[in-house]
Amino acid sequence: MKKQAVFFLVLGLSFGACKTGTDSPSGSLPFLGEMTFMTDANGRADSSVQALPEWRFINQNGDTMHSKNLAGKIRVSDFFFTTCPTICPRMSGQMLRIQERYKGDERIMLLSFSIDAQHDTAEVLKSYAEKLGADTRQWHFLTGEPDLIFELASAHGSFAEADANAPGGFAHSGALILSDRQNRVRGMYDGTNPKEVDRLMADLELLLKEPVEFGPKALELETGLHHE
Amino acid sequence: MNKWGVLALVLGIGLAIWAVLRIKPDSGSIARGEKLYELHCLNCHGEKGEGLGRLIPPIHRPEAYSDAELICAIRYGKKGELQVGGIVYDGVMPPNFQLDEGEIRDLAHFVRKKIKNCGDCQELELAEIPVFLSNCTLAQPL
Ligand code: HEC
Repeated sequence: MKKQAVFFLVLGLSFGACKTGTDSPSGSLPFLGEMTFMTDANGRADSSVQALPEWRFINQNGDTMHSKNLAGKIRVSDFFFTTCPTICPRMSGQMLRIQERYKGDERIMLLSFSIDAQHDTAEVLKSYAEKLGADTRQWHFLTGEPDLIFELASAHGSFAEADANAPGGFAHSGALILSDRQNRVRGMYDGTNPKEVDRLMADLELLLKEPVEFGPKALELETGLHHE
Repeated sequence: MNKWGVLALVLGIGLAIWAVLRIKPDSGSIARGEKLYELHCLNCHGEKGEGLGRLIPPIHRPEAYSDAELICAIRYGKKGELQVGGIVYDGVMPPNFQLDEGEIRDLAHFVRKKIKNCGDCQELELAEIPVFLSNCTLAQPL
């Protein structure tokens, strides 16, 4: 009991320290990627945070899409598959709510990565998007090498894998992931819970007001997620 | 009022209470049905049965489907073209072989009363469920 109390105290303090450590205006979002702290040549403390890896996948129109072309955009991403018998329709419905709220806003992109490349061809994704009522100018449905998509999910702090015992053949998280204009993860939300998605949209408002250069430097990975 | 009058009145009130209790929906059943709906239906059909785009049909329209169709859909799922409110759906609804007849009744209770908002529809008796199930045309596993 005592040990637990101490543990939570330490935990609380370290969170508190993180909050005040960065020179953030009040009400800014945390950085969820791996942080590196160092001192620069002049002895000043400096920090950087891991950015999301760049990727290249096929979208619902059959076009190759490179994440570099989305540079500078705030993104909301999820990992799903079209034949998912459990939580995906709910996640898609919540993504749709976000799209309805920010329709035509070019600062924001929605990305749904299919974790079932075998079934979810570009054609299948296109039909899914149409039936859902998604505006594919702002919302892309992507497919590609499963291992790369699983890796991307884990880089987002989410989770997806093939699992014969899971309903529909895949185990995956229902998270919607919010990343900022520098491609840094800033929030994770339960995409099956409308209240959580309300919180996502409130946080998105904060990101829209935030200067682009705000916070620790984004560290780019050397290698992106795509086949040469 | 003489004593026969009083007796008749008491009897009448008693009868009325008994009748109300009999037709009052079994609230325990509806509460259990709500839990089952959250577990097995809500992700697709939504909190109020509103459906999702042209992917998943709404199920809150009272006239859209019968009790028989509801009960068969719960156990055996549904696939193929289906027209609801002028929209053609062509999705797959998974079966629920794990639900027993009592659970199917609870779920159907909840869907009729709270999703379809059918205030005056008759109660489903547990004994009716196997009869409905034996008449499902979609009685092959998907
Ligand atoms: C994986 C998503 C999914 C789940 C979970 C699901 N459904 Fe469905 N449901 C559908 C789809 C898709 C259809 C349309 C099927 C078709 O196109 O033939 C449908 C059709 C129906 C219909 C027929 C509607 C009509 O107008 O004829 C009913 C009733 C229904 N579902 C009730 C339920 C109930 C009750 C549950 C919970 C046990 C449930 N569904 C769970 C996707 C789902």
